[in-house]
Amino acid sequence: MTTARQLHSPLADLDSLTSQHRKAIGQLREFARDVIAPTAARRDGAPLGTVEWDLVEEAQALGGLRMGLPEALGGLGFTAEGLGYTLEEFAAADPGFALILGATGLFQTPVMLSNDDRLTSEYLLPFLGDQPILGCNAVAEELNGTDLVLATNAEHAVDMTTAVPDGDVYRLTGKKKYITNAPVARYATVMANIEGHPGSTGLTCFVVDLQWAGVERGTTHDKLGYRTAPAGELIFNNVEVPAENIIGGPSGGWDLNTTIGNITRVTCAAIATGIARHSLDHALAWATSRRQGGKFLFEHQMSARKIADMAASVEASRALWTKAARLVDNSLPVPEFEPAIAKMVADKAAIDNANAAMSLIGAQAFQRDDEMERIMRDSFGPRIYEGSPEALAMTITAHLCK
Amino acid sequence: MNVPHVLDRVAAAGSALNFARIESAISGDPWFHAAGMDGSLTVAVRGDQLPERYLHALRAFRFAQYVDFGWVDRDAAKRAGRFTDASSCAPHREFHHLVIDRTSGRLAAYLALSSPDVFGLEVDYPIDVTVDMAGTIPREKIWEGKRLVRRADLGRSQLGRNAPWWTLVAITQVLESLESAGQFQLLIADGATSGSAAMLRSLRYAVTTLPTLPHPQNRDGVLGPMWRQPETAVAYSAQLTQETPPVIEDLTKFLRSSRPGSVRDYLALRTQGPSSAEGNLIHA
Repeated sequence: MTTARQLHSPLADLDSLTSQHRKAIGQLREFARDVIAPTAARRDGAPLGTVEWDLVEEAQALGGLRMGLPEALGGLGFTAEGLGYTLEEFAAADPGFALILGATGLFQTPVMLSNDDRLTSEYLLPFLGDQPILGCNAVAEELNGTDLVLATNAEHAVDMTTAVPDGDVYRLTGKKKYITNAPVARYATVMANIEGHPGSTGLTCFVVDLQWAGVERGTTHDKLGYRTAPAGELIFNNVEVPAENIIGGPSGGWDLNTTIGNITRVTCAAIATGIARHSLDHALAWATSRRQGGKFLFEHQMSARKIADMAASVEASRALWTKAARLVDNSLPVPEFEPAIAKMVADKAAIDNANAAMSLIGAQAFQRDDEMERIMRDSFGPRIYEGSPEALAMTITAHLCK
Repeated sequence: MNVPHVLDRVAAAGSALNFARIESAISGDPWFHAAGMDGSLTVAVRGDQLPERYLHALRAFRFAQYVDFGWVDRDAAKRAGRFTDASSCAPHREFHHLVIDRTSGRLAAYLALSSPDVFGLEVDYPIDVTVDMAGTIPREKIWEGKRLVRRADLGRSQLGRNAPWWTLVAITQVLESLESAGQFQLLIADGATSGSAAMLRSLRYAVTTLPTLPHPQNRDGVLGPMWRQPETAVAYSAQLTQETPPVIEDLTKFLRSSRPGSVRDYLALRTQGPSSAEGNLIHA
């Protein structure tokens, strides 16, 4: 039997990071490989909405729920690049677990961008304790998908969650859908349209404690993949939110939404790369142990080509997301083009590699108890999250055709 | 409006912080470590032994207790954007004495000890510590205790009774260690005369209070209500005496047990001799 070389993201890639960050990333990656990966199938098959809190607590102890918080606030202070390396590793183990951490970061990012000491004290402080607390970013709605991704579509949004000003507070009414961590999160950033503005042109970001009166958790979604991360609806029934909990000012939601989307596409691309890598690792393990026609599968030319294409996809995806991450870390405004390209290529790599691995492994991969079944389902996650290829194409061509 | 005032929300977040895993995060050995039958875990550590996040969490907890005690002017704090307590000095010049409720992982009491360039007493009172309190003691051997805080919602449980005393047992251990290393001679602090100064006296510290009143302007600003309490705070100094270690030893035994009664009463009765204290409490 020939040994397959596992394609973990090479440590050499971490050279651009500080030694403290390298150490923290190393600990989280080890946790992902040694603890999360071997238990992924268990979480995938668990009853809907189950969260393995003991493992989330382990991740929290290593800093997994405060990766992006600045060191001055007690966080790990990861850059987009550091986050990407960490989430790629979690995605190669269990992308749903990566998403639990990532969605919490999605809540924290606008709070950090607010540069408001009060919001920071109230809503980031709880992440410093040992009890794991999750956050979420509530944007999508039943009738509003791309109309909340592309600013040019803003006026076409319908039946938006509405914020009605009432003295020192705003009253939020409406329903958010497809929100990762919604069934279990403590805090949310909620994008609502201020009453009187057409479509979503009055989009505004509110920080909401999901324990406040009027907040209801709706349906928990029965998703195809990423089943470790519960997702669902958040219903707001005339929820009173202090005006001081607005980030970016009234009607400032679109700028924030676009910026966060551009940042998050990088980590989403890293997660897609992790899934693509997982398919490759799984296929390699098979191709280097399975013999047909008197030789290993990888020695057959057609199979070799498949494996080479998969490896090239992983490397290309990583090259693109690391380039985008470095730009996000070092330029203002946050770039749109590179994160969109990275995400579009990486999500295709995730699906293509799962497809290729299915073909290469054959009947064994078609069994429910084979890991490929889960990888195949998970591979479609990055296609949907943070903008479909159709939405990304609009961003990319807008940049090229200015 | 249904949503509580922002200071109350910040305080609730600060009080709810969980420290259940702190032991595994301490680098090196703690300076003091004790588990009690009251469900407490008491540890004393130097600031540079803790990850930064715990230092933030401790300051947030202390500020939260100030809010709960009514020591913070809510609107002034909101205007000033002050939602946590400030750090007074570098981590290696600060000690933290924590009493953790092992059941919930939340803090029960907390006391900080520091050696800053400028002492808090010199800011809050017209005092020059070197001139007015130290005598011949060099400044680098003076350590300042911050206000001891106990979580407000602990109630009359045994842990609630013991928690402040555990911090004093821990701080005494730290001061004795610092003294042995030639780094401590004088503790300075302030508070109500019936509060920490009286507690230290009962532990046989040599306590000297100063007649100097706090700056009148303290009554304004974010912590104004702290200075408008019925009992005026006094600045004081305290030194370990030969009688302190045996008192601490007995107190530790008392706290470790599940015996009922007031700790102050126990310490008062102890002056009549250990057997007298035992007898009175057993029949209390």
